[in-house]
Amino acid sequence: MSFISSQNRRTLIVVFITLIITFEVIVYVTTTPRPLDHYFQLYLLGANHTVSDYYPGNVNTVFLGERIAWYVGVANNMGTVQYVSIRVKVSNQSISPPDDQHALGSQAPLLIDFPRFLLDNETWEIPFVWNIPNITVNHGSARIVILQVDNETYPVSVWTAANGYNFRLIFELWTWQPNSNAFEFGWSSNGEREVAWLQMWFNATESTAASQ
Amino acid sequence: MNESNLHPIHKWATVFVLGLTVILIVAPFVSVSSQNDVTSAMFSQALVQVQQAELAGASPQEISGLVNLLNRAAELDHEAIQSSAANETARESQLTAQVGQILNTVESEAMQLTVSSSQRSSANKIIAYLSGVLAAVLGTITYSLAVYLNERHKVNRIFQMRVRRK
Repeated sequence: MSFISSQNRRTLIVVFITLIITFEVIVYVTTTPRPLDHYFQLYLLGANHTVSDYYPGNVNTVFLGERIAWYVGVANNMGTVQYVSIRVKVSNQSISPPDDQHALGSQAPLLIDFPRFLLDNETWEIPFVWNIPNITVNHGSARIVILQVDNETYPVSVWTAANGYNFRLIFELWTWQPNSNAFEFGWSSNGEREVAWLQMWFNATESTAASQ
Repeated sequence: MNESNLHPIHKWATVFVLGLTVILIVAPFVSVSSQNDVTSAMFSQALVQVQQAELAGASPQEISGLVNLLNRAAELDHEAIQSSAANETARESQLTAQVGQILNTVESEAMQLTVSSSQRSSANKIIAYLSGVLAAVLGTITYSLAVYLNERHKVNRIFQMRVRRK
Protein backbone atom coordinates (compact mmCIF):
# COMPACT_ATOMS: atom_id res chain seq x y z
CA MET A 1 0.00 0.00 0.00
CA SER A 2 1.35 3.35 -0.97
CA PHE A 3 1.35 5.95 1.83
CA ILE A 4 1.55 8.85 -0.62
CA SER A 5 -0.08 8.87 -3.99
CA SER A 6 2.21 9.22 -7.01
CA GLN A 7 0.79 12.66 -7.81
CA ASN A 8 1.41 13.85 -4.25
CA ARG A 9 4.91 12.40 -4.41
CA ARG A 10 5.63 14.39 -7.57
CA THR A 11 4.27 17.54 -5.93
CA LEU A 12 6.48 16.96 -2.87
CA ILE A 13 9.57 16.49 -5.06
CA VAL A 14 8.79 19.75 -6.90
CA VAL A 15 8.27 21.55 -3.56
CA PHE A 16 11.54 20.10 -2.17
CA ILE A 17 13.55 21.09 -5.26
CA THR A 18 12.05 24.60 -5.26
CA LEU A 19 12.83 25.05 -1.56
CA ILE A 20 16.36 23.68 -1.85
CA ILE A 21 17.14 26.04 -4.76
CA THR A 22 15.67 29.00 -2.86
CA PHE A 23 17.59 28.31 0.37
CA GLU A 24 20.90 27.54 -1.37
CA VAL A 25 20.66 30.77 -3.37
CA ILE A 26 20.07 32.65 -0.10
CA VAL A 27 23.11 30.93 1.46
CA TYR A 28 25.24 31.73 -1.62
CA VAL A 29 24.23 35.39 -1.67
CA THR A 30 24.85 35.86 2.06
CA THR A 31 28.19 34.02 2.18
CA THR A 32 29.75 35.37 -1.02
CA PRO A 33 31.51 38.71 -0.54
CA ARG A 34 30.22 41.36 -2.89
CA PRO A 35 32.73 43.24 -5.05
CA LEU A 36 33.20 46.64 -3.49
CA ASP A 37 35.03 49.77 -4.51
CA HIS A 38 38.49 49.72 -3.02
CA TYR A 39 39.92 53.09 -2.13
CA PHE A 40 41.78 55.22 0.40
CA GLN A 41 40.71 58.55 1.81
CA LEU A 42 43.27 61.20 2.70
CA TYR A 43 42.18 64.23 4.66
CA LEU A 44 43.53 67.25 6.46
CA LEU A 45 41.70 69.05 9.25
CA GLY A 46 42.35 72.34 10.96
CA ALA A 47 43.17 73.07 14.58
CA ASN A 48 39.61 72.40 15.75
CA HIS A 49 39.26 69.12 13.89
CA THR A 50 37.16 70.79 11.21
CA VAL A 51 37.69 71.72 7.57
CA SER A 52 38.43 75.28 8.68
CA ASP A 53 40.81 77.15 10.99
CA TYR A 54 43.88 75.91 9.19
CA TYR A 55 45.78 79.10 10.03
CA PRO A 56 45.48 81.38 13.04
CA GLY A 57 43.02 84.14 12.17
CA ASN A 58 42.27 82.30 8.92
CA VAL A 59 45.10 84.20 7.23
CA ASN A 60 47.57 81.97 5.48
CA THR A 61 50.59 84.09 6.31
CA VAL A 62 52.83 82.18 8.67
CA PHE A 63 55.09 84.11 11.00
CA LEU A 64 58.36 82.88 12.43
CA GLY A 65 57.79 80.47 15.29
CA GLU A 66 54.02 80.57 14.88
CA ARG A 67 52.55 77.20 15.76
CA ILE A 68 50.15 75.72 13.19
CA ALA A 69 48.17 72.64 14.24
CA TRP A 70 46.59 70.33 11.69
CA TYR A 71 45.38 66.75 11.70
CA VAL A 72 46.23 64.54 8.77
CA GLY A 73 44.42 61.23 8.38
CA VAL A 74 44.03 58.31 6.07
CA ALA A 75 41.22 55.75 5.91
CA ASN A 76 41.81 52.31 4.45
CA ASN A 77 38.86 50.93 2.47
CA MET A 78 40.88 48.49 0.40
CA GLY A 79 39.37 45.35 1.90
CA THR A 80 42.69 44.15 3.31
CA VAL A 81 45.57 45.28 5.53
CA GLN A 82 47.68 47.92 3.78
CA TYR A 83 51.07 49.49 4.42
CA VAL A 84 50.81 53.21 3.75
CA SER A 85 53.03 56.23 4.05
CA ILE A 86 51.93 59.85 4.24
CA ARG A 87 54.73 61.87 2.67
CA VAL A 88 55.03 65.55 3.35
CA LYS A 89 56.89 67.83 0.96
CA VAL A 90 57.64 71.54 1.05
CA SER A 91 57.24 73.23 -2.27
CA ASN A 92 56.71 76.57 -3.94
CA GLN A 93 54.61 77.75 -6.87
CA SER A 94 57.03 76.75 -9.61
CA ILE A 95 57.62 73.12 -8.66
CA SER A 96 55.06 70.89 -10.28
CA PRO A 97 52.47 69.29 -7.99
CA PRO A 98 51.74 65.54 -8.14
CA ASP A 99 50.66 64.30 -11.56
CA ASP A 100 47.22 62.66 -11.26
CA GLN A 101 47.20 61.37 -14.82
CA HIS A 102 50.52 59.54 -14.66
CA ALA A 103 50.38 58.86 -10.91
CA LEU A 104 53.65 60.65 -10.19
CA GLY A 105 54.48 62.32 -6.90
CA SER A 106 55.58 65.94 -6.73
CA GLN A 107 59.18 66.71 -7.63
CA ALA A 108 59.50 68.64 -4.37
CA PRO A 109 61.94 67.06 -1.91
CA LEU A 110 60.60 64.85 0.85
CA LEU A 111 60.45 66.56 4.23
CA ILE A 112 59.04 63.81 6.41
CA ASP A 113 57.12 60.57 5.99
CA PHE A 114 54.73 58.74 8.29
CA PRO A 115 54.60 55.00 7.51
CA ARG A 116 51.97 52.76 9.06
CA PHE A 117 50.22 49.42 8.58
CA LEU A 118 46.46 49.91 8.52
CA LEU A 119 43.70 47.41 9.14
CA ASP A 120 40.80 47.23 6.70
CA ASN A 121 38.30 50.02 7.49
CA GLU A 122 40.78 51.64 9.86
CA THR A 123 41.19 55.39 9.98
CA TRP A 124 44.55 56.62 11.17
CA GLU A 125 44.92 60.24 12.17
CA ILE A 126 48.02 62.04 13.36
CA PRO A 127 48.50 65.55 14.66
CA PHE A 128 50.74 67.63 12.42
CA VAL A 129 51.97 70.61 14.42
CA TRP A 130 54.50 72.74 12.63
CA ASN A 131 56.25 76.06 12.64
CA ILE A 132 58.99 77.86 10.78
CA PRO A 133 61.87 78.63 13.16
CA ASN A 134 64.11 80.17 10.53
CA ILE A 135 63.74 81.87 7.17
CA THR A 136 66.23 83.82 5.09
CA VAL A 137 65.45 86.56 2.59
CA ASN A 138 67.86 87.40 -0.17
CA HIS A 139 66.97 89.99 -2.84
CA GLY A 140 63.28 89.51 -2.15
CA SER A 141 63.52 85.75 -2.39
CA ALA A 142 62.51 83.97 0.82
CA ARG A 143 63.84 80.58 1.76
CA ILE A 144 62.63 78.37 4.60
CA VAL A 145 65.80 77.01 6.15
CA ILE A 146 64.28 74.60 8.62
CA LEU A 147 60.81 73.45 9.52
CA GLN A 148 59.83 72.13 12.91
CA VAL A 149 57.24 69.34 12.89
CA ASP A 150 56.03 67.84 16.16
CA ASN A 151 59.05 69.32 17.97
CA GLU A 152 61.53 67.77 15.56
CA THR A 153 63.58 69.92 13.23
CA TYR A 154 63.89 69.12 9.54
CA PRO A 155 66.16 70.92 7.09
CA VAL A 156 64.36 72.18 4.01
CA SER A 157 66.02 72.03 0.62
CA VAL A 158 66.74 75.14 -1.35
CA TRP A 159 63.27 76.01 -2.62
CA THR A 160 62.53 79.69 -2.46
CA ALA A 161 59.50 81.89 -3.08
CA ALA A 162 59.39 85.47 -4.24
CA ASN A 163 58.74 87.68 -1.19
CA GLY A 164 57.77 84.53 0.71
CA TYR A 165 54.53 84.14 -1.24
CA ASN A 166 53.01 80.85 -2.27
CA PHE A 167 54.90 78.21 -0.42
CA ARG A 168 52.94 75.01 -0.03
CA LEU A 169 52.97 71.84 2.01
CA ILE A 170 52.01 68.80 -0.05
CA PHE A 171 50.68 65.63 1.58
CA GLU A 172 50.89 62.55 -0.64
CA LEU A 173 49.60 59.07 0.03
CA TRP A 174 52.03 56.31 -0.91
CA THR A 175 51.30 52.60 -0.56
CA TRP A 176 53.61 49.62 -0.27
CA GLN A 177 53.77 47.48 -3.40
CA PRO A 178 54.91 43.92 -2.63
CA ASN A 179 55.87 43.42 -6.30
CA SER A 180 58.49 46.14 -6.18
CA ASN A 181 59.24 45.96 -2.43
CA ALA A 182 58.82 49.71 -2.20
CA PHE A 183 56.34 52.49 -1.58
CA GLU A 184 54.69 53.88 -4.70
CA PHE A 185 52.55 56.97 -5.11
CA GLY A 186 48.85 56.07 -5.03
CA TRP A 187 47.33 52.61 -5.25
CA SER A 188 45.84 50.19 -7.77
CA SER A 189 42.11 49.53 -7.85
CA ASN A 190 40.39 47.41 -10.50
CA GLY A 191 43.44 47.66 -12.73
CA GLU A 192 43.58 51.45 -12.53
CA ARG A 193 46.05 53.64 -10.71
CA GLU A 194 44.47 56.03 -8.22
CA VAL A 195 46.18 58.78 -6.27
CA ALA A 196 45.38 60.96 -3.27
CA TRP A 197 47.16 64.14 -2.29
CA LEU A 198 46.46 67.46 -0.65
CA GLN A 199 48.21 70.78 -0.56
CA MET A 200 48.04 73.82 1.67
CA TRP A 201 49.33 77.15 0.40
CA PHE A 202 50.92 79.65 2.73
CA ASN A 203 53.03 82.76 2.73
CA ALA A 204 56.04 82.88 4.98
CA THR A 205 57.36 86.04 6.50
CA GLU A 206 60.50 86.62 8.51
CA SER A 207 58.54 88.79 10.94
CA THR A 208 57.47 87.25 14.18
CA ALA A 209 53.81 87.02 15.11
CA ALA A 210 54.32 89.20 18.22
CA SER A 211 55.75 92.08 16.20
CA GLN A 212 52.63 92.31 14.04
CA MET B 1 108.95 57.84 -15.83
CA ASN B 2 105.76 57.06 -17.74
CA GLU B 3 103.39 54.10 -17.16
CA SER B 4 104.82 51.98 -19.95
CA ASN B 5 108.15 51.95 -18.12
CA LEU B 6 106.61 50.37 -15.02
CA HIS B 7 107.66 46.86 -14.14
CA PRO B 8 104.75 44.42 -14.80
CA ILE B 9 104.72 43.40 -11.12
CA HIS B 10 104.43 47.05 -10.08
CA LYS B 11 101.63 47.50 -12.60
CA TRP B 12 99.64 44.58 -11.21
CA ALA B 13 100.37 45.68 -7.66
CA THR B 14 98.96 49.15 -8.47
CA VAL B 15 95.85 47.65 -10.05
CA PHE B 16 95.41 45.34 -7.02
CA VAL B 17 95.75 48.19 -4.51
CA LEU B 18 93.35 50.38 -6.49
CA GLY B 19 90.83 47.53 -6.79
CA LEU B 20 91.08 46.76 -3.08
CA THR B 21 90.58 50.44 -2.21
CA VAL B 22 87.46 50.64 -4.40
CA ILE B 23 86.05 47.45 -2.83
CA LEU B 24 86.71 48.73 0.70
CA ILE B 25 84.99 52.05 -0.10
CA VAL B 26 81.98 50.52 -1.84
CA ALA B 27 81.48 47.45 0.40
CA PRO B 28 79.67 49.17 3.31
CA PHE B 29 77.20 50.81 0.90
CA VAL B 30 76.55 47.54 -0.92
CA SER B 31 76.06 45.82 2.43
CA VAL B 32 73.60 48.46 3.66
CA SER B 33 71.76 48.41 0.36
CA SER B 34 71.41 44.62 0.27
CA GLN B 35 70.36 44.62 3.94
CA ASN B 36 67.62 47.16 3.10
CA ASP B 37 66.55 45.04 0.13
CA VAL B 38 66.27 41.97 2.35
CA THR B 39 64.22 43.88 4.94
CA SER B 40 61.96 45.32 2.21
CA ALA B 41 61.38 41.86 0.77
CA MET B 42 60.56 40.57 4.25
CA PHE B 43 58.03 43.38 4.76
CA SER B 44 56.40 42.42 1.45
CA GLN B 45 56.24 38.73 2.34
CA ALA B 46 54.79 39.46 5.77
CA LEU B 47 52.20 41.84 4.31
CA VAL B 48 51.14 39.40 1.59
CA GLN B 49 50.86 36.58 4.14
CA VAL B 50 48.70 38.70 6.46
CA GLN B 51 46.47 39.69 3.51
CA GLN B 52 46.09 36.00 2.62
CA ALA B 53 45.10 35.20 6.22
CA GLU B 54 42.55 38.00 6.02
CA LEU B 55 41.12 36.75 2.73
CA ALA B 56 41.00 33.21 4.16
CA GLY B 57 38.56 34.55 6.76
CA ALA B 58 40.67 35.46 9.79
CA SER B 59 38.79 37.70 12.23
CA PRO B 60 39.70 41.40 12.62
CA GLN B 61 40.90 40.64 16.19
CA GLU B 62 43.31 38.01 14.90
CA ILE B 63 44.59 40.32 12.17
CA SER B 64 44.87 43.24 14.59
CA GLY B 65 47.53 41.39 16.64
CA LEU B 66 49.63 40.83 13.53
CA VAL B 67 49.23 44.44 12.39
CA ASN B 68 50.47 45.65 15.79
CA LEU B 69 53.61 43.52 15.32
CA LEU B 70 54.04 44.87 11.77
CA ASN B 71 53.82 48.44 13.04
CA ARG B 72 56.42 47.62 15.70
CA ALA B 73 58.68 46.29 12.96
CA ALA B 74 58.10 49.44 10.88
CA GLU B 75 59.05 51.64 13.84
CA LEU B 76 62.25 49.68 14.48
CA ASP B 77 63.08 49.78 10.77
CA HIS B 78 62.67 53.58 10.85
CA GLU B 79 65.04 53.70 13.85
CA ALA B 80 67.49 51.45 12.00
CA ILE B 81 67.51 53.84 9.04
CA GLN B 82 68.19 56.75 11.41
CA SER B 83 71.02 54.78 13.04
CA SER B 84 72.44 54.06 9.62
CA ALA B 85 72.42 57.77 8.79
CA ALA B 86 74.19 58.47 12.09
CA ASN B 87 76.77 55.75 11.34
CA GLU B 88 75.76 53.72 14.40
CA THR B 89 76.45 50.39 12.73
CA ALA B 90 76.09 48.20 15.81
CA ARG B 91 72.77 49.74 16.75
CA GLU B 92 71.56 49.46 13.16
CA SER B 93 72.48 45.75 12.97
CA GLN B 94 70.74 45.10 16.28
CA LEU B 95 67.56 46.87 15.13
CA THR B 96 67.60 45.18 11.72
CA ALA B 97 67.92 41.78 13.41
CA GLN B 98 64.94 42.63 15.62
CA VAL B 99 62.91 43.71 12.59
CA GLY B 100 63.75 40.44 10.84
CA GLN B 101 62.76 38.45 13.91
CA ILE B 102 59.39 40.23 14.21
CA LEU B 103 58.66 39.85 10.51
CA ASN B 104 59.50 36.14 10.63
CA THR B 105 57.13 35.75 13.60
CA VAL B 106 54.37 37.63 11.73
CA GLU B 107 54.86 35.54 8.62
CA SER B 108 54.74 32.20 10.41
CA GLU B 109 51.74 33.24 12.56
CA ALA B 110 49.95 34.53 9.47
CA MET B 111 50.60 31.22 7.68
CA GLN B 112 49.10 29.25 10.57
CA LEU B 113 46.20 31.68 10.68
CA THR B 114 45.62 31.24 6.94
CA VAL B 115 45.36 27.48 7.34
CA SER B 116 43.11 27.58 10.40
CA SER B 117 40.91 30.37 8.97
CA SER B 118 40.60 28.57 5.67
CA GLN B 119 39.49 25.36 7.44
CA ARG B 120 37.09 27.33 9.62
CA SER B 121 35.64 29.15 6.60
CA SER B 122 35.19 25.89 4.67
CA ALA B 123 33.47 24.27 7.65
CA ASN B 124 31.20 27.31 8.05
CA LYS B 125 30.34 27.20 4.36
CA ILE B 126 29.52 23.48 4.48
CA ILE B 127 27.35 24.05 7.56
CA ALA B 128 25.58 26.95 5.82
CA TYR B 129 24.82 24.89 2.69
CA LEU B 130 23.73 21.89 4.79
CA SER B 131 21.41 24.23 6.70
CA GLY B 132 19.86 25.08 3.32
CA VAL B 133 19.20 21.38 2.65
CA LEU B 134 17.82 20.91 6.17
CA ALA B 135 15.56 23.93 5.76
CA ALA B 136 14.28 22.50 2.44
CA VAL B 137 13.54 19.13 4.10
CA LEU B 138 11.71 20.83 6.98
CA GLY B 139 9.82 23.01 4.53
CA THR B 140 8.73 19.98 2.50
CA ILE B 141 7.59 18.12 5.65
CA THR B 142 5.66 21.22 6.76
CA TYR B 143 4.08 21.49 3.33
CA SER B 144 3.04 17.80 3.23
CA LEU B 145 1.68 18.06 6.78
CA ALA B 146 -0.31 21.14 5.83
CA VAL B 147 -1.70 19.34 2.76
CA TYR B 148 -2.56 16.27 4.87
CA LEU B 149 -4.32 18.37 7.55
CA ASN B 150 -6.18 20.30 4.89
CA GLU B 151 -7.41 17.10 3.23
CA ARG B 152 -8.46 15.64 6.58
CA HIS B 153 -10.33 18.82 7.36
CA LYS B 154 -12.11 18.53 4.01
CA VAL B 155 -13.05 14.88 4.70
CA ASN B 156 -14.36 15.83 8.16
CA ARG B 157 -16.42 18.58 6.62
CA ILE B 158 -17.89 16.12 4.13
CA PHE B 159 -18.81 13.68 6.94
CA GLN B 160 -20.36 16.48 8.95
CA MET B 161 -22.57 17.53 6.06
CA ARG B 162 -26.30 17.20 6.50
CA VAL B 163 -28.89 16.92 3.81
CA ARG B 164 -31.56 19.54 4.18
CA ARG B 165 -34.74 19.78 2.32
CA LYS B 166 -35.17 23.02 0.44
